[in-house]
Amino acid sequence: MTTPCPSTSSSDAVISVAGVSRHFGGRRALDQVTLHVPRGAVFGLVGENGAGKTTLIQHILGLLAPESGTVRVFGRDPVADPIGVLGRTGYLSERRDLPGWMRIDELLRYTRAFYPRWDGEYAESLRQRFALPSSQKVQTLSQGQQAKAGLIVALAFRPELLLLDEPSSGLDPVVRREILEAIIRTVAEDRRTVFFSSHLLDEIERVCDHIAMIRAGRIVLFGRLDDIKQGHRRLHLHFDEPCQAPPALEALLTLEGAGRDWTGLFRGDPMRLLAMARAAGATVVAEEVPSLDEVFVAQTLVDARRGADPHV
Amino acid sequence: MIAGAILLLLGGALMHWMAATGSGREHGATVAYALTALIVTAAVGSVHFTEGPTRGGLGGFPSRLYQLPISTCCLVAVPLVCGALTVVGTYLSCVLMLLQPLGRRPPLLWPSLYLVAGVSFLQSMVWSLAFRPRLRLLCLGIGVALLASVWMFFLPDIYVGTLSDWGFVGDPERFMTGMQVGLAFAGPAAFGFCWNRVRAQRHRRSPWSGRLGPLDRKRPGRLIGAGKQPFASAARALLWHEFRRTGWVLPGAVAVLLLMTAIPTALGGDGRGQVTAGVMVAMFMAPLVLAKIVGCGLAKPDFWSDNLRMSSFQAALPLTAGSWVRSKWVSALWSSVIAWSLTLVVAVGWLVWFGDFASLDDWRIELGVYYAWRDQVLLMVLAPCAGILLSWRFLVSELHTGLSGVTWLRRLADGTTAVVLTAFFAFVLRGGDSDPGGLGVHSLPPLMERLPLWMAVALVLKMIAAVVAWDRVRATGMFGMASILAYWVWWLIGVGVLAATGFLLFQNLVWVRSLVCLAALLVFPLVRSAFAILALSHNRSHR
Repeated sequence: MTTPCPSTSSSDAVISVAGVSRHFGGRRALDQVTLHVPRGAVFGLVGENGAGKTTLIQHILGLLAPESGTVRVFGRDPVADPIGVLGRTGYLSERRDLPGWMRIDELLRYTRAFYPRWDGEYAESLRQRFALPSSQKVQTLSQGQQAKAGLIVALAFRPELLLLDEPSSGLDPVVRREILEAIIRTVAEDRRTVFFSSHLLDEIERVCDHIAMIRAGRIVLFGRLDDIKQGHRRLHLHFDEPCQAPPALEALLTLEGAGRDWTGLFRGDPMRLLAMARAAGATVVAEEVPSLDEVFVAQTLVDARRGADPHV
Repeated sequence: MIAGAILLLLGGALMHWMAATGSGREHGATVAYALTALIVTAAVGSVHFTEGPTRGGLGGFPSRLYQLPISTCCLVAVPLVCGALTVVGTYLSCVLMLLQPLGRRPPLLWPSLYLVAGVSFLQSMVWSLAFRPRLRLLCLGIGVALLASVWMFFLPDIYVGTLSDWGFVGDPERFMTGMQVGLAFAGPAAFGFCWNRVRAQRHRRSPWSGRLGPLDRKRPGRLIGAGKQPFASAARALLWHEFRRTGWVLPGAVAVLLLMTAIPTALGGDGRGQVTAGVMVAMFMAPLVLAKIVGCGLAKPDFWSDNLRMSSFQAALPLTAGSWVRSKWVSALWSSVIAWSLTLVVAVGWLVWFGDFASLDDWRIELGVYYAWRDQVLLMVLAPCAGILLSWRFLVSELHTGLSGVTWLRRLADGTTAVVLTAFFAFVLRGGDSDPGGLGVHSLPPLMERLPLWMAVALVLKMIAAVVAWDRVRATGMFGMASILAYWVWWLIGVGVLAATGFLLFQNLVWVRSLVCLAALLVFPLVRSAFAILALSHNRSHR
């Protein structure tokens, strides 16, 4: 049930990943991953821990060379042309591995040397907004402050592409909100593209317009957020006769209930789903658009069942 | 530890074989003592029981243990005792497996006490000064130097003579018994100090334990790079970064060693005439030997971290691998220049104030006999330049292994460096005891006759490999053509200076002169520099 690539062609994509695979030892970290991120999109990559999110981001940055397949960012190979790609890309690492021995002012002064388009005033305004003391060493900052420092470094040269790996991981809600606001402001600028990974679906849902779900190194769902949500329905079904076993329905992802009343999460065209339910002898009591969280959980369960039994 | 155990087993088997066959017992004893020193040193170095932060290098006491329901006393005592037992056990194993088969019966009590005291103090320094890295480095440097040298004072031949020189009239044996009792108390004293500091860290009782106090902001080290102006270029920023992390280490280490050489010998007074030549040799050897040691750390992406992978912050900067390697080269050159400048200033100052010019008369006369005054002036100019270039060479010579990110390659390179340095010191020490003729080149005629041929073959191979490697660098685009040409010019200059120095030095020995010129072509890095760029490029993208 892997979703095919959406209509975005690779020619107008900022990021084009085609058939990329990667193994670490015997473990398959990425398996034939293909996706295209259009210019100006806010792209969210969701997946469980260990699903391959960071590995995919490192391929996009050129910090990992693909074993097979190709990665192109701005039409360039990030491994062969690091300056051409990284000079236009801001990156916030999940590991927050900024040089701990530098003070904040040293960090900003050091980093600006590599980006001709560095905006010193913008960096200073971000530093003040995030209340980071310029004379404090990075290693003495809290985790949230380090994330903010990393975000300043990633944003201050106004990159065309912003790559954020779990930007709000381990942060309190206030810091998370500040970081999301900074991302939204970045997006508001002309033609900037944001690609970020998270396992917090509410923040993905709040910020992103495109998403991809990754599981065990495979992209299992991919497209515009609205399309994905509209392409799923939660239907409350009522049967005239009690069902001893869960009713067999097409396009079903999850189903729960008993007897005459069942609630299922379906994937497909809403009109066709309604017709299918009626054809199965059910009355649709209620129809709802599921949250991204519900879609993700259902998709994960289906994929896990398929992994256990390929005939599902 | 595993490598040490393997070395111990292999050495033990070798010593037993030597004892059984009766062959080479004298050489065997030298090897056994060297192995013992190597293994015990490795054991001392590996029992610091720290758990470092992923960045910032060697860490402090493992802070995750603070959450255990155990008293701080117990937390500190267990690793201290384990460390002491490990090192003493290692020493006793070496005695049992390496020395006893050859009939050697080294003392057991005082070396064990000495090692316990030494290890305890080193561990306490590592843990107590975790948040003062530079102070810790200084203390550890002094501590290691003391640990490596003071043991000689416990040898009966040394202390009997030394005590009488000092005017001691009592029984030297009783004096030494008192010293051993003192050693026995040193371990608990170190424990007490360490316990106090770790307890402060655990409960955040002092400024040492966490964030640096306001005084820290006024430290002289902060003056380096304290400017507010933006860097003129990315290369300047990289150089600043590299020098702040690594560049000062060699000059710092050289300064400590120079002071440790200069001050005791200056204060010694008596017999300084005899030591002048020795002090000069020690001072001028310091930048070379220390460069080889510091080079092992400089080879890594981060000197202070065990992680051979680049941090993602550094790897995601818009730079080529060649830019990083170049910054390491330039930083290493500055290090060498500063280290040699310090050496020259301190050596000349020491010679003027405390040295005995009469003891250098033999050298002066020989210089006058063999070299014209013009050559002497040239040598005085070229020799420091050659020293700087050789130090630079030692600093950057392992970049291709450390930057590759391949752990076994790095360990192999470090092991080779340890063996080379051990062999060098063994050669120097042995050379002092044997007759001068025994070490002459003519004592090894078959090898020496073929040496030029082998060197010529090696040079041809090196040049072929250099062309291939640099062509690969050019193809990857990690180093521009102009930069490649600049490096080759630098190589020619380096080789030229080394060859000219060797040529002048051995101008009357045609055979040696030619050999030195060949060696200059071989010794200055060309292939490995290209490999360093390729290795870092490989490391960056984890290929």
